Amino acid sequence: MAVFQIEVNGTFYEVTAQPETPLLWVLRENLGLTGTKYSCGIGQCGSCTVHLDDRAVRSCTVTIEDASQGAITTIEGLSSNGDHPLQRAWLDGQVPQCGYCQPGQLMQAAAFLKANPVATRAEIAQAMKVILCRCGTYQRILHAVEAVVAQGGGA
Amino acid sequence: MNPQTSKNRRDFIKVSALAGGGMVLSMALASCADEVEETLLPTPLSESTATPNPDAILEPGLFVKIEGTGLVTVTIHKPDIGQGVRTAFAMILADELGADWGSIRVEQADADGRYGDQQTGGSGGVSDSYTLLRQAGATARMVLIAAGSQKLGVPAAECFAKDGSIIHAGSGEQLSFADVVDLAATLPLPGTDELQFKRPEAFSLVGTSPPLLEHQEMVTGRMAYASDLHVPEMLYAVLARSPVPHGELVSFDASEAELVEGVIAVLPAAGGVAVVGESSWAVMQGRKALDIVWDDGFFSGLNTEDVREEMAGRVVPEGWQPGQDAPGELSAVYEFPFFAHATQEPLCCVVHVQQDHCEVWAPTQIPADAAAIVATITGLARENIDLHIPMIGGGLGRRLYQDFVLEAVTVAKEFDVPVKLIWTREDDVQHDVYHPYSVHYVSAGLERLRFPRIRTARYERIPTGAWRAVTNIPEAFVRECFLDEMAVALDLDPLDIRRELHRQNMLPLIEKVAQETNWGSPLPAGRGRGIACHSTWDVTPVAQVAEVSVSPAGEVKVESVVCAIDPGLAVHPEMVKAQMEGGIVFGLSAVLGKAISFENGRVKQSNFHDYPLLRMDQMPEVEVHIVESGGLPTGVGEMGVPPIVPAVMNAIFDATGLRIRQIPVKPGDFM
Repeated sequence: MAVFQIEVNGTFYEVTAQPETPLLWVLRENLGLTGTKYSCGIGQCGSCTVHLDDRAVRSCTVTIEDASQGAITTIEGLSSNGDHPLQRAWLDGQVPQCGYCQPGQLMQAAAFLKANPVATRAEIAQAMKVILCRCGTYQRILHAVEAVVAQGGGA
Repeated sequence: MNPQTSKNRRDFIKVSALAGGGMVLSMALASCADEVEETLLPTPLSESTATPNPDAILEPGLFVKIEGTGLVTVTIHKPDIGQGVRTAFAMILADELGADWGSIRVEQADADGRYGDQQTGGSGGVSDSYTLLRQAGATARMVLIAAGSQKLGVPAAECFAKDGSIIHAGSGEQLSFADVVDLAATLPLPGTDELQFKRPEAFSLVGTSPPLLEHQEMVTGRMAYASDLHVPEMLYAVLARSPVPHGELVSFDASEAELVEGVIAVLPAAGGVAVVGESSWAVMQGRKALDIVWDDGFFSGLNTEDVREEMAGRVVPEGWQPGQDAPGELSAVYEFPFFAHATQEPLCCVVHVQQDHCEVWAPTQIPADAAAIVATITGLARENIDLHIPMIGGGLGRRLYQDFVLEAVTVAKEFDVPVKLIWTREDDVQHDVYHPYSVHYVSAGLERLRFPRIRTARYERIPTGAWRAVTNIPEAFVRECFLDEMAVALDLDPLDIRRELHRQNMLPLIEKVAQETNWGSPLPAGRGRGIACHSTWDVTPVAQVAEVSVSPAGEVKVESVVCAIDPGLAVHPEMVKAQMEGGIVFGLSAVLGKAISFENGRVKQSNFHDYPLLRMDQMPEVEVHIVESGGLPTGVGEMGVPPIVPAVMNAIFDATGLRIRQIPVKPGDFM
């Protein structure tokens, strides 16, 4: 066990864990930030996507040791009142079904749009294909991201 | 309901009210309330001076509670697996009640026999509950009206409920629900045979698409699924299961596992070995360190190829060869493989077994079955078990089976503290209740046009079961593809053979998708169009046209899907469309992804890298048309799935001339 200091959503936490523990489990079980979901554990589905600095990463494949090198943002820190343009677009487009993958979808879309605020449909689909949605909400996700781009809210 | 229809309905109401206004007033029917209000309500409204008693509660039955604060709580008795029953049920009840939608809250019911059937399955959530919820809404409305009319000193027959108020039609005087809850709680409830219902034309919520009540929590990460629950002092557990179906535990060595930091106990349980500890990560590491000897048993030699041969042997006539039909006959063999559910949220269950009580959080589709298993394993009386149903991260039929609850309670009863048993994705893919492998022999005489005969053999000796739409998928695949084979043999258009054979209720949908896709118009080379129709569980007809492109290398891309559905009545049209979109994605994952296969009794796939599901870059443009025939809602959860498989396979034939009779498609199919 080792002690790590990590910054999550602007707050510093001290965490005691094995260095190889995935960030996912630290967020969920040490910090109680359960908006970041487990679904595959091998970086294949993206339900656990968070931002490490400005990059979208799969928190199931980032160790707590590596995560302590940067600033982490989770779905709980995406906006203060659930009013990020993407969150509003998700509500307007009635995107979620079971909702379990949606935090990961939103975090992926947010990091992507920050880097590519005027993305085309094809670019959005390429960027978002890493996040699996078993309910099949892809079309609504695509339209919601496009709506944010159209409003100039991608930045 | 689109705005156009909505407006027409309102116009109709006005006209009918003007024509019979006097009579409407004389009838003791709250159901005519909207008609009264449209034409006879004087303005401005005068507010009554009654003071609400915030502590008053009216609870006329199991499904709704109205408080003196004005808050209306609807109890949702069926699990929500993402199909939206929480919102849909609340809409149905609130509409019948005349409540203000903004005052509605929902509460998920525990497993409780008083609710009757709590199962979520078979697409029956809304259709099973529709009348029940309307009865609950009407009961509450009538007793509130009785109280309101007493307080206003007017006849109940002249009052109606709307937007959370009891309104006297003649004077426009009104009282809010909050104002009358205290009196209503003392009045007798109407009997079921006295209930008066709103006419569908007067619905103000049903048929609209308000934001889902759960969405805000879902997009902020605050929605708590079973996986997210933390109960004080809770331990985590995983179970090592036999890698071969029905294999048995012989022995295990836990010495390495027990050394893993955070592992507290290793014990045999539920036919496997449970590793219990302080965190999910610790118990997963502990399980990897286990050394287990299994007796693989009877299924140690199970291979998919043998399953195929055995099933074919049951239904395909001896000596049958493809393309050797007698004149006027047509026959073929189709196959449908094993598939896994892979719900987005893996299985998980939290159980706290105490001396004389047990508390369970189970993301199950059948609460009664889960509770019965807990009672059996713990030996507790059913009334000493509290079984809660959290929001569920996808069902797909997997949670009709309570193996995960059985395991969790079996492990938890060895501990004084609560235990959360989690399934990893590998557990989920390799220990599923699979869609069964099936082989189908299909044949038809071409003299007289009718549906083909289908002989089906399903392999069900390993755990197999319901996989969203269940038998409807292979049934639709075989029948609808073979219809196209018949059409070719008879030189008929695939559209015409369906116009000829499908039932009356399918015909408007066939015409709709044909019209929307400009059926028959030419397509570029490498592109094809296919149609298929299916009425899942024989209740909800759906027709779909898929357009595909096939590259010279045999890569299939589904470009677009046009879908028409007749759900009877669409309670929340956007939710109906979302279910069609999701059903289409589910079916496309089967056509374009991978199947589950067995080798020496072991499932070869383990996670999303080798059991891939549809991704956004493979997503076609999907257009859904709701063609309501009226009456009662019929169910939509599974109905989008079955037609998409044959629609795509027929489109591939249209594009390439190749008839592929098994899924998923592989580049090799085009060699």
